[in-house]
Amino acid sequence: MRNNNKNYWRKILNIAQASGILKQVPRTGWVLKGVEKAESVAEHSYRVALLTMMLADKFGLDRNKLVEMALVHDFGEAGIGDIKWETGRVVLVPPTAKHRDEKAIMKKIVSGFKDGAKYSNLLEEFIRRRSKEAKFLKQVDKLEMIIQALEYEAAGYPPSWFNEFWENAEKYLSGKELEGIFSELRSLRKQ
Amino acid sequence: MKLIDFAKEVGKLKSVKRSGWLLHGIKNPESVAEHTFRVAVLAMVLAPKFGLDSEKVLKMALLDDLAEGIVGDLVVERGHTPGKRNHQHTLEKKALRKIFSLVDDGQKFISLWEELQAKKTQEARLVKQVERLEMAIQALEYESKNKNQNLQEFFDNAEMHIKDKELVGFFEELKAMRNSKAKI
Repeated sequence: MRNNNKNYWRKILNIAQASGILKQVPRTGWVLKGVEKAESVAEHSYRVALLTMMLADKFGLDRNKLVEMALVHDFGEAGIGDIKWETGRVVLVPPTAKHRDEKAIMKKIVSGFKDGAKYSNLLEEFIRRRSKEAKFLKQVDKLEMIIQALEYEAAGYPPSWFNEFWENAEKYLSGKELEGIFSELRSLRKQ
Repeated sequence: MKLIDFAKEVGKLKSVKRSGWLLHGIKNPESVAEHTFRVAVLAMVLAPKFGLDSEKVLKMALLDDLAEGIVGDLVVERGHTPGKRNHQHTLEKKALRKIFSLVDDGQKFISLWEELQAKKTQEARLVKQVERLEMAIQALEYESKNKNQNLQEFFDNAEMHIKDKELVGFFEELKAMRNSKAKI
């Protein structure tokens, strides 16, 4: 009995350590542009989670699933770091490779954990955009990125650095539920 | 709903460093946003073990330090009086009212935050203890990175607040790892 418990805590610690890695992994897009002390994946996920918490009801979505999915959606970055998969609208690496790696990493993180499958499945659901929540989360993911881009622009970085992020966000938000907020953000942009 | 303004308030937590680590001279310490992220993840995975409403637990965890973007991160136990702590609570509540005036149904989030601070319900107690456990894990990680770092006071603080039998078990594991200088 005591060993079972010890094993359980080891699994929780695995998850804690993976989360800790996300505190250290900077969001690559910003780093590649030259943003100093760029935010971490953990910081990004934190804001995405809070935004989903506020938006879920308005769009008739399963709030708990959305918030949990938001917390785990970038767990794949814990193994390989935050890799840049797209530039603007151009895809740099085949999605299948990215997905396979992310799923493998998540599997490792929750391996042996009793409820592990739940979180692996949530990540898979997000990756495959299988549900309303997954599709919506992708929008919030990009919206949060744009808000961060605006904040970097306000901090004094050249707005032109971020053009590709705006293009990328447009790809995911155009014609979708959060397009209105995206338009509002666009109007806030210094040109 | 003023979602963009709300997002900006949340974004402040990415810049507020956890002051306990700063005061201890830790270089590039984590932000409050990073700390909250991990507390939320842990609260999410632990809630079922305690048979608690994981949605409520998760929401509470995410709300806990939200006001610090406006009020700052006060290290409560380091020689601050109860008077100062009450003042902090008042300031935080005021800040939260401001933040939640920006979203629909804001009052219910403020009520949840109040419930968390009161520490009377099981959910609130779990989140508050998970918060200290996360701090202990972070302390362990900082010590592992720098042999000269001694963060005993954080372990003492965690020990004071972790009361649940199961969580104490986890904490004992962490202490054992620390004592055996296990590489974390």
